[in-house]
Amino acid sequence: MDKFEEKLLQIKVDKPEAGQFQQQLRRQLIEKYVKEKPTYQTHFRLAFGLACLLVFFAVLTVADPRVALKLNELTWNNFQPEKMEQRSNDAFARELEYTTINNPQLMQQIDAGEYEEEKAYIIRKYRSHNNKPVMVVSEYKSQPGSMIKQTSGKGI
Amino acid sequence: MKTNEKDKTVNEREIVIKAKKDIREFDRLYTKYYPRINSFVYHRVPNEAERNDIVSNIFNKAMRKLGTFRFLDSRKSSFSSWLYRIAISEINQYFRNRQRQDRIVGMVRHNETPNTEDFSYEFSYKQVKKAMQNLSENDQNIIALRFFEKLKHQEIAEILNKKEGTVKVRLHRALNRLRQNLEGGNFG
Repeated sequence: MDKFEEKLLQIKVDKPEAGQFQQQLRRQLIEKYVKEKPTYQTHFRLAFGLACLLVFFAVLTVADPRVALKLNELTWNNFQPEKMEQRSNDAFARELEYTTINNPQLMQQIDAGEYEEEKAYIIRKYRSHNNKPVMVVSEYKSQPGSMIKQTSGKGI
Repeated sequence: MKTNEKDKTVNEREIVIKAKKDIREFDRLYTKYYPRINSFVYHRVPNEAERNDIVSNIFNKAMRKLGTFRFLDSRKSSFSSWLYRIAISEINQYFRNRQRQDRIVGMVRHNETPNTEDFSYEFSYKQVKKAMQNLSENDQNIIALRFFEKLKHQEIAEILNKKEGTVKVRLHRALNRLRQNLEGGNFG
């Protein structure tokens, strides 16, 4: 180290006066970075919320497809409950076929207007070459265990 | 002594890691480094308003980019070096923005009569600063870090991301140029 360098190291260096700017800048930085939530945090929360909503609807659609139908019709502003009911009935009708029973004796005894449909049943008829036929009545949409109720027994 | 320095580094490292997770922790770094950074900028930019702008930019940038700071090697990359690098970058940017003005000022200076003040080998801080004005940005930075901030060669090497030997050579050349300016009175 030469003398010039030594002298430079020894010179009395001026120091900036301790002004108020340090505290002023500190307050500015706190305002900017601490009090205000960073933009990326807001974006992240928004994206996360939307993702949760989408997952919720996806699960709901799988669990009950009618929700999707309702949403679709609400979105396109053509929500018609009866139409949905009709679609549901149409689906039911594809599975079952109504038959007409012409029983004048029964029609005289009851007033059809007083009766409302309460529950649907399925009647299965089993044949056997050796024994008499068996009719099995099942409640529609019942649990498999309790589904079959043998009401008539052999010979009906 | 070395153990204390190591403890300080570890402590600083913990503060930086905390600040990365919670920016409120940056307050401790700010309190610690504001005087040093302010002093370094003061040696390069005497005007108070401009200096405050630069210091403000440095800490804003540091807070914005804290997430990108990595401790690659505790010996080679400390937080203070990273902060000084930002400071140098901001100061250089400031002078680049003022390059045109400086050129005009330089032309005016060229036409001025040389400083007739008797120059003794004893010189003051102000004389050195004036003599530095004709040096390049790199020379001014390295001289300010070494002789005003009193940093070691190793610390300067860390800040400038150069080898210690390279820093010594650069400093030696910068000093030669500074000496010429001081001896020739070419700092008016």
